[in-house]
Amino acid sequence: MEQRWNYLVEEYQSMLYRIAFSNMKNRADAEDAVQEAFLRYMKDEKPIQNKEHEKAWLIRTTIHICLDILKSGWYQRTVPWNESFASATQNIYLPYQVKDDRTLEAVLRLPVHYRNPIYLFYYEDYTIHEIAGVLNEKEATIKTRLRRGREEVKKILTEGRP
Amino acid sequence: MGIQEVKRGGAVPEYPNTRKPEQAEGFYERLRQNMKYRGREKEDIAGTETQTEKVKEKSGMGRIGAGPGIRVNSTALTEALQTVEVKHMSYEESDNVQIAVTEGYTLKGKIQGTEAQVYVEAKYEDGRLEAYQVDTKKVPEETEHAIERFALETIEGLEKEEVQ
Repeated sequence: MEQRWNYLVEEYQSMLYRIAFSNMKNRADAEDAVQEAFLRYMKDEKPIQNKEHEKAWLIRTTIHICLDILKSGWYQRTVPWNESFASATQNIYLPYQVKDDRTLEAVLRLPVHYRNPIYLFYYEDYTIHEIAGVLNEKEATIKTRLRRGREEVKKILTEGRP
Repeated sequence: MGIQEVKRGGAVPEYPNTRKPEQAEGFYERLRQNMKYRGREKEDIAGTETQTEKVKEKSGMGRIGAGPGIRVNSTALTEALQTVEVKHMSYEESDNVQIAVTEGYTLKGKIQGTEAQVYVEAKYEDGRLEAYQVDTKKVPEETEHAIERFALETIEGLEKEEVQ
């Protein structure tokens, strides 16, 4: 059990944390979401087919947990300790150097249906096929969201609108 | 009022507005001519397509690297840039990463054995994945080609690291 837990943490923690952070925008909530995803994975008795399936399951669950937290009455009644978007880019700990922080800040400002496909495609290097699997959407839908999301990013960068 | 049985004679009745045999022949003749004309039209269209291909070849349009946001410099393309097989390299394995969200592509670069050679993997918004081998010695310094410029940056990044 402990061995399994260590493997999960070592293999997926950083990636899941980044995905959770892109949704929650603060470290504490992102860490909570990732822990909850790991717990659900350990409790879940459904057989996992392979590593890709395992990864997709964890990403999907993390995103769902984040969305559930954001929608919850408790979260909407309280004021989260939101870190600014500027510090968000420093807190996201990408495994490579991001030259353009402003674009990442703009991506984090996008509505959720654009943000997750764009973040996974550009910053986590997922293919359209993989994103479609993770988000349970058609590939054509993901392509459309990538295109429209890109236009939204441009608007945020040029017009500075939130 | 009762139902009356209508009895016809053996001859085929003549209906108004029905084409006579001579008229039908005229119709087939016109149809044949139209078919001939259509065939010629198709040949003409095919000819135009071949011409478009020639223009594309000359200008470099539609060649590798003509994805969203990437301008193709056709002369440098043949000298410094070659398409190679995609290795599916991860960000962690790359020496340099460029994420161009507003242009719709990402680039990953890795310096190959000899220092002038850079392997570049490009992923486009429409899902295309392409890989190039760039010989940076043959790339002009003032190049505007996004992939060539990225390859030069990758080499410069390594040089800076070595200095530090």
